[in-house]
Amino acid sequence: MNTLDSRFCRPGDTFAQRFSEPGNYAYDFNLPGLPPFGHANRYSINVKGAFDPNKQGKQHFVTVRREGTNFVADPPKLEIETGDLVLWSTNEVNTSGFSISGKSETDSFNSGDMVRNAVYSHAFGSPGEIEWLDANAHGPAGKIIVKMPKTDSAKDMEAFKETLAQGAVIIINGKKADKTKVEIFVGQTVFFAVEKAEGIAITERL
Amino acid sequence: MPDILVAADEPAATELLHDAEATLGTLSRSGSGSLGPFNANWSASAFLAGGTVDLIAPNVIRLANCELHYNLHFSFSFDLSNIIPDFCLPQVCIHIPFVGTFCTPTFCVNWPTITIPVNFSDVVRFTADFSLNAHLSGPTWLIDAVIVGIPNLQLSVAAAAILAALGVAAAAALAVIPFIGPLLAGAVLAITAAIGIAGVTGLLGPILSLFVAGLTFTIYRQPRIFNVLPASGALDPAVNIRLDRIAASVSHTDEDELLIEADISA
Amino acid sequence: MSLTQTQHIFGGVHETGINDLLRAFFTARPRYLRYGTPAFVPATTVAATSVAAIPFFGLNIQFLISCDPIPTVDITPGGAGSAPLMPGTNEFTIRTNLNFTVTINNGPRITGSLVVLALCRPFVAVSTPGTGQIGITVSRVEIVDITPDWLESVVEGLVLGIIQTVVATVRFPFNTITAGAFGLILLAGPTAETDQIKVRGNAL
Repeated sequence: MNTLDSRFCRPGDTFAQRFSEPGNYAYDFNLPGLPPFGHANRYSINVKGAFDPNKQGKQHFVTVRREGTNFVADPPKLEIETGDLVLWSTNEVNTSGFSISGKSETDSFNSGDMVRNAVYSHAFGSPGEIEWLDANAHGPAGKIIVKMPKTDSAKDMEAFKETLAQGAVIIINGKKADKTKVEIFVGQTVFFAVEKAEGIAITERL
Repeated sequence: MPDILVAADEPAATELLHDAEATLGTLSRSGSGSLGPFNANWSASAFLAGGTVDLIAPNVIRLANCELHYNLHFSFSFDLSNIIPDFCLPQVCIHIPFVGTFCTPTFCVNWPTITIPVNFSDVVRFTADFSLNAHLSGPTWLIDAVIVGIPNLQLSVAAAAILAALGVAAAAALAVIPFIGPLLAGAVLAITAAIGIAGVTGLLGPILSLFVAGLTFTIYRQPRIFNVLPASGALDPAVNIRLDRIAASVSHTDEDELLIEADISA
Repeated sequence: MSLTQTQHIFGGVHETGINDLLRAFFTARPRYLRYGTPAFVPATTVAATSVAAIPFFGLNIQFLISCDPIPTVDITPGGAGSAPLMPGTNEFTIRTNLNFTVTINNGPRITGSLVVLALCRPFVAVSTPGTGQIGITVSRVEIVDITPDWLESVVEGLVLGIIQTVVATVRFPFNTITAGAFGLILLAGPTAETDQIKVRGNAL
C-alpha cells in the first residue's frame, strides 16, 4: 500500500520536525488522531541551546523498525541543538504505518497533528490524480497529478531516474496551501511543510 | 449369420459418435507442471464435439477434426526480485525556509512475491483413429471406440495466445505494486521471455494430452437382459431376451458401414 | 451392395432371431397360445385366455385350444418343412401344432392335434419414429391331411381365425430390430427376404 496519510507513515514516507525550543522531549508511537496519553514514552530527544532561526541546523535520522508487534525507534535517545531537525522513516512493509507524538514541558510535536516547522513527505508509487486534504478539517487541500514517465529507452530510463532526486514542496500556513496543484512523475516525492497551523494531518480524499 | 444385424453408414455413424461425445460430457483434471522456469498449479476442463467419421474396415473409426474445447486456469508465483532488480529511490534533498535544508533517506523497494492467475479457453482440433471394442461390463454390453495412440495436437497458435494472455495477466497483477509503473513493461517482458512459447507448450501439451490419451467413446450400451416389450397389466408380463453376443466391425462394399451383430436367446 | 442402400440405417432379424423372439414372447405371455371356454379356463390368467362357450342347436360345446410347440417361422426362401405352403416374395411361413380338446354336453373329451402352416407377411403396426412396432398378418393357413377337401376348407377357415388371434398380439419393436443401437425412423420395409425381416431408415 502506498496511501497518502501522515497519520500512518509507511515506506516511502518521512516525518520531520525542526525543534526550535530547548527541552527534554519524551515521545512514543501513538494511535493516530488520539491524544498522546498512555504513552510508555520510551524515547527521548534532549534539545539544548538557544534558537537561531537563521542558522542551518543539523539533520538527525531515526529509523522506525518492528520488534514483534511493536514499533521501536532507533536510536532511542538523541542529543541535539535547537534548530536541528529529526527525521523519522521506516522500511517495514507489512504494517499499517506509524504515528508518533511527544512533548516537553513547553512544547510538543505530533505527526498526525502538525502545528509548526513540521514536514511530511510521501513518494508516490502509482499514476493518477490524488486529491489531498487535512484530515483534521482545518482547510488546506489540493491535487497531486502523478504521471507515468517515458521509459521506453535506456536514455529515457536514465532521465527518469534523475528526476527521482527532485521533489516538490507544498507549504501550508494557517488554512492555506501555497500550491493547489502539483504535477510529478511516479516515484517522485512531495513534501507537505507546515509553517504554522492549527494541527494538520495530510490525507487523501476518497 | 447373426440373429440381429444392424448397419449404419458414415453419416449415421457420425451421429453415433457425436452422441457419444455429448454423453462423455465435460471432463476435469488438475495438477501442477512446469511453466518455463516457474512451477504452475493448474485446473482444466474440456469436452469433445464435432468431427467427421470415416469408417475403415475391418474395425476402425477415423474421427477427423474432432474439437477439443478446453478451459484452462493456471497460476504461478515467484519473487519479483528474481525478475527485475530492486528499485531504489535516491535521497531527495530540499530547502524549506522555516525548516532548512534536509534530505530523505534512500528508500529501496523490495519487490514482493506475486501470483499471476491466467484463464484461457480455446479449441484444438485433432484427427485420430478409434478401434472398436465390444465387451460385457458386468450386466451391460458396451461397444467402445477406443483411441489408438495419442494424437499430435497443434498447439503453437494457442501457446502464443496463452503467452499474450499471460502478459496481460502479469501486467494486471503487477500494476497494483507501488513504484512498478516505470518498470512494468520491462517486468512483463522479462516474465514472458523467461517462459516463452516453449514454456507454455511444455505446460499445455501434457495437460491436453491427459484429455485425449486413452479417449474412449461408448457408442453402444444395452443391458444383457434386453427388454423387448414392457409389462402391460397383470396379465401381460414384460417380454425380455438375452443378448448372448455383441460384436462390432466395419464392412466395406460399395460404401463403408458400421456393423453391429447380436445373437439372442429367449 | 451395402446393407443400408439409400438409407442410413439397416436392421435385419434372421429367422433364428425371430424364433427366439417368438419363444420369449409366448413364454412370457402363454395365454396367447392357449384359449378355453369356462369349463376349461374359468377366467383369463397369465397362462390361458377364457373365451365364451359356443351355443349350437342347444348343445353346450366346451373346448380348449393350444398351440404347442411355440410357433416357428421360415422366412422366404422357404425350406423343405414349409413345402405345403411355401412363402413367396415378402412372405414367411409360421408352423405350429394346434391341439384341441372338445366336450359336448359334458360328454367324454375328444382330443386331437393338427399340424398347421400359416402364410404371413410383416407389417408396420405402429409407425412412431423410435418406438414403432412390426406386426404379423396372416393371409391363409394350410392343414395337412384332412379329407374330404371341403372339410379341410371348413377347418382351415376356423383355424385361420385362431392363428390370426394368436399372432395378432405379437410385436417386434424397432428398437429390438436394431438391438437398441439406434432409434429408427422407418423409411423402407419391413420386408421378408433372404431369411430375414429387414427394415431401413434414418436414425432418430
